[in-house]
Amino acid sequence: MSDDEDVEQFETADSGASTTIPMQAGNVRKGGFMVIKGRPTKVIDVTTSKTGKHGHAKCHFTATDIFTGKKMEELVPSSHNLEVPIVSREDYTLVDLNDEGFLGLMDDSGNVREDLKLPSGHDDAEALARQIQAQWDEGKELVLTVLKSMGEEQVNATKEAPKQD
Amino acid sequence: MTAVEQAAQGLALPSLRANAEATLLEFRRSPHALPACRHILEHSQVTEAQFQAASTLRDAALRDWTALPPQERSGLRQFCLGALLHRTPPPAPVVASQLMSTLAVILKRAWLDDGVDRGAMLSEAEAAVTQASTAAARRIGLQLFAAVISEFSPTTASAMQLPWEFHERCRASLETEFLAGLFAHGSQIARSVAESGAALNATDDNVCVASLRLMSAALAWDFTRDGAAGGPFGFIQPEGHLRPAGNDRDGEAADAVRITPGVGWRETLLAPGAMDWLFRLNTAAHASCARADGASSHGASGSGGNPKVDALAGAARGVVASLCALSGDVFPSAREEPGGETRRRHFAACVRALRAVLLPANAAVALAAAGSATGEENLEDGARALCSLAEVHPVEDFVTPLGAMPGGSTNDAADPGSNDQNALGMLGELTLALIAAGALRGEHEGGAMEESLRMLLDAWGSLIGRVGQFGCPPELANGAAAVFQAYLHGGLAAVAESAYDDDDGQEEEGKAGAAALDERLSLIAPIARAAPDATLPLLRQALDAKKRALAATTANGADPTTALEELWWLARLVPHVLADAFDGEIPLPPDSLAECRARATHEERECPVDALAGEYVQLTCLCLDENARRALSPRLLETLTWGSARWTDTYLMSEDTGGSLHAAIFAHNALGGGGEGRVYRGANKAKPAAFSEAGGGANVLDALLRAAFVCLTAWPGETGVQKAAASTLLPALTRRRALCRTCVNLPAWKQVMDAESVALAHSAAVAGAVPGHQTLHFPPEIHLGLSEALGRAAEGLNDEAQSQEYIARVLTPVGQVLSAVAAAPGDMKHPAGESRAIAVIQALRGSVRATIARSQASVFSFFSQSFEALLAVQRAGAHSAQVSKLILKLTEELVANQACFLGPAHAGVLCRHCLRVVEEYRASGRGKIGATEGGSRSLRAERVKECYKEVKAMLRMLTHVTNSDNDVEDEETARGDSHRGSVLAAAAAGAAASEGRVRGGAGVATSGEALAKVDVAQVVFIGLNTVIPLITDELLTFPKLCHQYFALLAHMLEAYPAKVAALPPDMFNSLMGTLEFGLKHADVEVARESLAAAGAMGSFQHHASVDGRAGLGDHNFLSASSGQGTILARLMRTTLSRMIFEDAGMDLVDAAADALLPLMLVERAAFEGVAGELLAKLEGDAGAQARVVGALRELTTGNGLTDRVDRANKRRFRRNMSTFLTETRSFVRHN
Repeated sequence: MSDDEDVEQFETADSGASTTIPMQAGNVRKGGFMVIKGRPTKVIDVTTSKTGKHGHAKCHFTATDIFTGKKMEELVPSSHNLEVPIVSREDYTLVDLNDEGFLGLMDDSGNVREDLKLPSGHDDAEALARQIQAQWDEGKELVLTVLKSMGEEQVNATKEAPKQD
Repeated sequence: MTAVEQAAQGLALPSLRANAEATLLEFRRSPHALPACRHILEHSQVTEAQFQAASTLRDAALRDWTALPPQERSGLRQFCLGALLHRTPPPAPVVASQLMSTLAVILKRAWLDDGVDRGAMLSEAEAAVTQASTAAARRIGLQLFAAVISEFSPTTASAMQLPWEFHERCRASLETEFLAGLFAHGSQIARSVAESGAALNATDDNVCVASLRLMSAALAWDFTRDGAAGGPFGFIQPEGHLRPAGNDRDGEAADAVRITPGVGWRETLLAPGAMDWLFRLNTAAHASCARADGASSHGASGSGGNPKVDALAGAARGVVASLCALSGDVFPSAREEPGGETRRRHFAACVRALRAVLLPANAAVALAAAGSATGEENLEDGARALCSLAEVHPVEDFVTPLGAMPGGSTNDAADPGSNDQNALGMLGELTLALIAAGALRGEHEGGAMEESLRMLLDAWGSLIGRVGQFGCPPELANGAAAVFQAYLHGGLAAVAESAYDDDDGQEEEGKAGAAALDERLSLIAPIARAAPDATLPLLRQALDAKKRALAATTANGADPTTALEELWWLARLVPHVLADAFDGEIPLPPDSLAECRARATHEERECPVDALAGEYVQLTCLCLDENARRALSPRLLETLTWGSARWTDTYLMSEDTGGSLHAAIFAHNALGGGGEGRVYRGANKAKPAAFSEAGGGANVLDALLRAAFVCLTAWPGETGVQKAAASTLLPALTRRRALCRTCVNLPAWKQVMDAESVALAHSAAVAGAVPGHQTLHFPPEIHLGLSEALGRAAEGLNDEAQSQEYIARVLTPVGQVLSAVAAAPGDMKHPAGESRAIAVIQALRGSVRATIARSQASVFSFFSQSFEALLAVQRAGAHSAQVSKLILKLTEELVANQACFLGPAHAGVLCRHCLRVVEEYRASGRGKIGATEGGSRSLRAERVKECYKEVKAMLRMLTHVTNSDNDVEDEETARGDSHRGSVLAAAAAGAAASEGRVRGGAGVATSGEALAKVDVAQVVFIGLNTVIPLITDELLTFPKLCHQYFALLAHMLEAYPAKVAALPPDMFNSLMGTLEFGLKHADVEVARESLAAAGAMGSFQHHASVDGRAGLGDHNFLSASSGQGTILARLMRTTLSRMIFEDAGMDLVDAAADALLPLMLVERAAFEGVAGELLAKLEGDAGAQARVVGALRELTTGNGLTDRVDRANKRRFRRNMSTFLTETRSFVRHN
């Protein structure tokens, strides 16, 4: 009944081959992700309608860009495919924050990367950046969550590192 | 004065508005507002300022009332009267009406003052009017009385900062002493003016209109509260009279208001000829309007004529409509007057009055259709009056010619031949005229015509609903058939016309739009059923004709939209006619249809009910034919699926629901009582009923199953169709045992089962991902519906082994996918992996929901083996909102559905699993939302909402866990187990060990027993302790979560107070902290639950102290060090201060009393402390202090209160409490 090859094998997010996968529009839910105009977005509302009274169903998506927070809309026939971005989150410990806003981030295995800047581009991101800066200046130990999708990465949340006993 | 004048005028200008508002507010607050208002009213020429002054006068008078000496109070009244009657120039209408309402308020405020002669206050006004002796003064006097009536009626009363009781006493006083007098006053003036002819010439300065409005106001009084409605001796049908079920009338009762003034009004309203002048006036006024309209309708505008006469006609119509709604004791009872002449005379008079206005129906409808406002109002009022008459008066009166009614025949020149007509004829004529004029067309939606039609159909419905199943008079049945025929044609024409409308509204409004349509159709359904032999064949023909039309259009390549739309409408209508909505009760065929079926069987002819049903099922099965399938639209198919489900619930193999018993009763009756009812299968030799198990039901079931399969598979992406099949049709097909029994053996069932497992296996593969290889794919909620239906079908297997095997067959594919998901946690990061996890969880939820006694054991053993896998999925899916939420919901449903079946050992396993799920959730950190998480505000709001849903699911899970307790205890009692005391917290201990955080909560576990038994309370408290920190202020803004939490808390504190006492201190404190929060909560429901919880704690402590046990022991003194007394004392203080200082209403008094009684008994000292503080607040006001001291004494000792917490005492204390609060609130808050 279940075809094992079919069930278990698909590319993992890290294989680098593709950053999105196709999915039938009718299956994309509120709270899920989808690509609108080349941007990864999170769906905040879906309504279905029909073209004419006896036509086929269409899905009307309202979504927010996961990096910029911009609101987007899209209308897709529900039997068509659309692209769903692969979204991943990684936690890093903040080890450095220089004057130009570049972050030094260390992952679980101790590797440090320094290619990301403080979030910017819209109000909420700026607020987050200010918060990180302030906490850093206070000398707190911070864990930052980096959101990654479609080749783009941005710090998306901060929390204080759990105290070690 | 100038300042106020400027400000009042400035309000209208946006630029000056803010300043003006400030000035006026200042003016209102000023201590000298009263004289200032009087000054302005006397001297200012500015209308706006006068208006402001009049309304400020009212506020100031209310505010300063207690300080005003009696002569000033009456001076105020005199002043208002003077300003109304004697000012030159007379005040502008807006000022006058404000003054009237001010005067009405002042009158009411003085109403209950000591030593006031209430009658004198009213006659003082009347005297002033008579003295002025102008028509204008007369009119003002009448308007003033109307304002007084509306002020005294509690629903329209102004706020006065006084207890409800004040309003209530005013109401009672006015109703018993003055209302009839006011009505008679208005009626007398109206009559004299009408008979002088001044009213119709419009030369009476609107006196007649004002007096008619006063009559209407008096009749609109809310009489029902004294229970005058349809007393036991009234002729009215008892409340629960036969209603077509599924026709939800709650919302419509408003159209048919009953006016029940009681016996006292009989003479005034019903004495022969008492109201004839009114009916004549009504007729004459309308004739005059119609002439004017007729004359002007040649011109451009439709509303010609004299507006004054229009107003007169409107006012007269209002009174007539109120008279039509009369019911109850005002009519002589059947004992006093067996023939009911008085009532029937009144009925005939009302009908004649309506005839004069509404007939000829075509003309009346045409006027409304032309958009004339008067015409529309006329039609609507008429329809409403007819609806009231139909609600109140028996069917026989509707079919009796008017000439044969008491009151005799009249020779009315304007309405010749009326003696041979009856009320039903008028109802029919009007309904048909409305339908013919296109009231069903979309453009009239929400308009006066649709509204009128709705009320008329409602009138038909209430007439039909009240005849017994064999008592439907032929006239009523024929009338109903004619109306239905017209409705069918009108409705088809209307949908055909709107088939191409782009904006349907249906999809946009979603469920609301469909519900509105259903409501409209459910009005016509009982009418169709009143004459099934005539109406059902009509419907069948229409279905057949439209099906042919569709086939024809597809064959010649024409646009099928119109045909589809017409079919769609019929597909919606037919199920309404055939079957009532299935609202969780066992559906039975509607009486008239059951009777029709029985009659057809007896006469051995084709039964119209079954013929129509057959036609409908065939239409649904069109989708089985691949060629025909292309012609059907998703929307049509959705509706057909829904309709087939509705029909199935009532008719398909209804043997095991009592459906045949019902039919047998009718068969019995139809055969004249001699026949033998066919109750059991095989009990007689009669031909099996259509669609029964032996009568071809299996074939229909098979066809519908195949149709469901086609719906699921042949329209990829059309979620609506798939959903209709999976969550409407399939559940209906597996709802009853007979259906399940047949289902499980049909090949079509196997097909559905395979489709589900294939789709589940492919749920990760994305449709279209592999070109040319279209995989079967369902949206997640389809898995839910499908696996629920599959699981439920186990009901049909009697044999234990067979049932086990069947369940295994259903669950094995799910289990395979589940272990695949659990084995590859990394895949969950990938959207495809996530969607596979969601699909499998939904399928599992379906199986859990389908838990039935027969298959419960197999389902549980499957789940108990899958717990590890489920936890693995939860861990891997922690980043995904969907997966987390669904896992929690799955656990919740698992507990909810399984708990009641489980013995102690299994319950323990389940409880342990619950705790682990909660722990896992906490460890995942999903519950913590950083202030800036998500990046943007809207995304963060979404996160909060997700969190709310998750926490709510956990609370519900814990609530359901408490249900599993009953069985454990039952079994223990049954076994006479004496180890109750050693019921141990196996799960708790386990969790405590794994967490290392919870200490001392669990007792000592003895090895064997620890596994066998679970202390449910302990599990819940540990769970709660984990969940409480997750409930943040943000989450508490969701009312559902709040209710859920406090309901659970109240239950736990009531059921397990001893366990609470044994909790570790930090846990106990956090519980009490939330309880205090709940006591202060604004939501009444939350506060009620919290009060119950606090009361439970109090009684526990009280009983413990009586029995000499420790009760809460040290817990009670935890906060003593902080100087706030014991915890119970704090709870009491919180409750008392809320009740005395904060709450305005009396909603919570009973709950608060129940909580306070035990708390007070336990914490006497603290209570005296609170009382002392209360008195200290009143320092310096000896009178008030004395009153409060008295009230306190009454509270604690009144009504023979003793110091026990039992039912009798609680009742006494409730009474004391409400007296106490009424007494104290006014004093304490005044300062």
